[in-house]
Amino acid sequence: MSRFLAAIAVIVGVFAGSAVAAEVPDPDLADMTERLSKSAVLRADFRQEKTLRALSRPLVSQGKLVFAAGQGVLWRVLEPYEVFVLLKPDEVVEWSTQDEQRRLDTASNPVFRALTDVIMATLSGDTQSLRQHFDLSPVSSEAGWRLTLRPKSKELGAVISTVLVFGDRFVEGVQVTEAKGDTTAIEFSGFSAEPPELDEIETDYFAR
Amino acid sequence: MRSRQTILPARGLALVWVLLLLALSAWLALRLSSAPALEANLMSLLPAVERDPVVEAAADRFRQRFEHRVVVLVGASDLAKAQTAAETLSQSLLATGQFRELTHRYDEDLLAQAAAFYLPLRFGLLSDTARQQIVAGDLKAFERAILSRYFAPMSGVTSDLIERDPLQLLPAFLEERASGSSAKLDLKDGFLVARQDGKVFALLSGTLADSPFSFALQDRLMPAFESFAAQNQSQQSDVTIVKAGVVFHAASGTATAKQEISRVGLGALLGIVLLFAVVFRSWLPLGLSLLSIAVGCLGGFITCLALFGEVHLLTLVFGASLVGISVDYSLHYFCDRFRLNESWSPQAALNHVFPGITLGLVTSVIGFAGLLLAPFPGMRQMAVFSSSGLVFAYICVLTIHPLVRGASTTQHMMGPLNWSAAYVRFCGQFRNRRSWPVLAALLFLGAFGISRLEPQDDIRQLQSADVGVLEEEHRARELMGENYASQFFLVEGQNEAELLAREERLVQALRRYREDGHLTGYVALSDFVPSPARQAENRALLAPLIEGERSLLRQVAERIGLPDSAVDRYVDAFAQAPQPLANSLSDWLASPMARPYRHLWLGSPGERAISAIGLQGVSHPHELRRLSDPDQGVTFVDNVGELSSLFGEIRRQAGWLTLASYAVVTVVLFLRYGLSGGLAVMAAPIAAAYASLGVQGLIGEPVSLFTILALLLVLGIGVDYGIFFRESGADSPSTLIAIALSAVTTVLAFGLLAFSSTTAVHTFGLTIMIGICVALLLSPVAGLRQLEGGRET
Repeated sequence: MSRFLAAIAVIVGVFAGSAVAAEVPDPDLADMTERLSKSAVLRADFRQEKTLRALSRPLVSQGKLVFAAGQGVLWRVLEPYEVFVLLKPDEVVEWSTQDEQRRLDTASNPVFRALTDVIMATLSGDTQSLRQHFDLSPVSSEAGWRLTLRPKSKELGAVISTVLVFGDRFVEGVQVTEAKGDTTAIEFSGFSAEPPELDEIETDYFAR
Repeated sequence: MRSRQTILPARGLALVWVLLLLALSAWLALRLSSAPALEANLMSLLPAVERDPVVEAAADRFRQRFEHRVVVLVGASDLAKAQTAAETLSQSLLATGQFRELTHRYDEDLLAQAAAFYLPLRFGLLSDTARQQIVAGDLKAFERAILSRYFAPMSGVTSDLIERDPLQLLPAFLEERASGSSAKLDLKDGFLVARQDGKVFALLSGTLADSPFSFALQDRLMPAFESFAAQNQSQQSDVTIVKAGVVFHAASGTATAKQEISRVGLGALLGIVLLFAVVFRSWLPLGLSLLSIAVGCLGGFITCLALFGEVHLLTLVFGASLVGISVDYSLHYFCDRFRLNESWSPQAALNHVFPGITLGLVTSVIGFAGLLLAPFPGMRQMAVFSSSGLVFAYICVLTIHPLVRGASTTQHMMGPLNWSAAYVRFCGQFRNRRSWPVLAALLFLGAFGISRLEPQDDIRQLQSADVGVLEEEHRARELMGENYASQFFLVEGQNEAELLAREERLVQALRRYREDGHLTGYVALSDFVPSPARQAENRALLAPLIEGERSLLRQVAERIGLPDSAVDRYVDAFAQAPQPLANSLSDWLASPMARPYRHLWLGSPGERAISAIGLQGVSHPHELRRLSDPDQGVTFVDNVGELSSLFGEIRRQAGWLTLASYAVVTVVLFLRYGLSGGLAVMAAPIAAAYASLGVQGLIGEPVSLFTILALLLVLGIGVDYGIFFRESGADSPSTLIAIALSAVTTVLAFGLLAFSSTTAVHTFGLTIMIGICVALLLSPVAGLRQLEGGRET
């Protein structure tokens, strides 16, 4: 589960880009956060492709996601079947239309927690935390920006090799390479910052 | 009477006494140099709870582990600083030599350890959720949960695991274990770390080498913490530490007790010196009285040490008040000067006060004997200390005091003597019918107070709760996310397999109780290592889902694209996997991942395997007690609760015992003074007890065992006052002066106890203080008949 957390950590970190710019003098990082759209609520489509050595074909899933600053990220997987995954500051809740919801206390898993810490830290504008877990190497060009993250700690490094985030006005993709070679790539499209607040159903979901 | 005159003045007797005291002192000096004489563990004061010896031994071991544990969280503004500070503190703590082990680095690769241990067991491991789904036949939900691990974001499927565990049974099992834990610590660069309010805390945890109640250990350990704190303060660093452990409570208790002993003892002494200076204007009475007090304390200490092998700190707190009672005999002896003025001689004084102080000693000892009967080791020690101390002081007055005559001045006491005489006359008016309404009103007020008394049997009143230490402990628990209740279950079995199976049955019930809100959580070894029976059961449940051409496994493999060859290998492995190993529990306990849970394993005393199940957030202990089942090797242990209910039981017993003591003393008094005389003497102590209870009811103090025990002392002392009056004649103002002085010293001693931070000591002191004041005011009633009928001969 950790690489997705890493991915989300980065996504949220970048979505909340204004905070990153505040303290980091790196011109590329500043440029990157400058370009990023800043909104409290952002919706997008996603397509995730996991390539695992053990399997003969990639695992593909797609759906929609809603990011709400300070509240978390709600993933709504539509293909191959419908399932909701809500990432909150201190826990992950997973549910589908038929099942009881499953709650994972992120506090119990150190790696898991490190990453949620990052999310919360970036959301609250504390870039120290992002740097505490990763070495950041940003590159900015006319076409867009790329940010490569490498874990600093041994514990995180044992699981994640690199995380690559790229985009322009929005985060367009995240690619997580695990220490053992499996990769996960998520592409984002169809961005929308409207309406700027969560609707009733979304608010309900976030309250889970 | 005649024999008294021949025996008492004998200088030889005094010499024998002095020699005996010297011999005892020599023994004490030898004894003190060879072994520690003081004990501070509260548990040693408490009565033992009746239980099966094996279970009791296991409960003791569990408790001891808890007592020996020390946890320190070293906090700083960033991780690096916290780590350095933790290293420094760890070194200076280890240098004290008071730790069996102390750890601040946790470098073990726990994930690899878990994989190595659990992978071979994976064919028999099921999460509770998965188990319930299969048992209920809801295979759709079971399959969906598996697929979700492959497709959903936030899932953690890796290639390494897919071929060995395509149904992802192991991650589901481990995840459930992890989410059941309330621990809030993260592993960062080999340190266990907690965060709060922008600070980072690194964990140090260790086991003490000796009992936390050992004074030697406290004396070496606490300065290490103090110097660490002082160092950080002087360097203006932002390093703070949060400590938790019984030793910190014990150290604070020791400091408080030492402070209280010296405060009560010194306070009483100071008061006595002042009183003697004012009343006697001579050094001699003061010197001799101090001598008798010292001999009394020495005698009490020696007797206790000889009988019990050690003296508890709390005994000394109570014992310090002995100063206030033992001085009485000296006071009566010296106050006799005011009776006879110029014609006073030691012999005349002794003749006059001997019956009074002897009877006083007898009744006091009867009062303390009541304490002796209480099935409560601590109280027995206090009773022995006090009564033997009184005997020593008494003998001292009889033998040493008459040796010196000294100068006597009594002129300055004429004023107080006249006031005393006036007060004694005033007391005579109690017989006047006009005062009856007032008495009736007081009686009613007392009854109202007594009706408001609430019993209080919580044993925690024996602890002096240091709010600072308590808050620090709460903070540490909050940081670590650990909150064990004082109650726990003990489970035993013929072997590990039976033990684990029994635990599983209990855990099933505990889950129901958790849903009903009787507790918030539990920790059990069987949650981490399922019993062989449970593993075999899980395997049987899984077999139809794995074997066969259209099995659930094959369907999942198709959805995720797992090659047939990989599926076949897994099916073969499942079929060939060995039966669960019986010794898996010991393997697990030996691995570092068991570190937070190892204390639950209580070994195999004799042939049986025993473990504890820790509980969290227990709100209804009596409900949990129902799960106790000796036939299934399950015992609910609630020491606080059991001791508290035992306290209630003892309080009720002591209540009857106190009544019996009052009755016995009354009978003794009837024998000497006749019916009405005996009743007159008893009037003061009975009214004192009544008033003490009434006042405490009115001011909202609860009644506990200690109130009852204090009433025994009120009896012992109050009867003395009556006896002294009866013996010396009610119109003797010198007696009232002596009683007043003795009451003032007693109130000084016990009044100071009332300010103790230990609830039990406070209750004890308050009860006696109120009782003695009333006994003093009513003591002239003892001589009332004589007032009317003239002096008896």
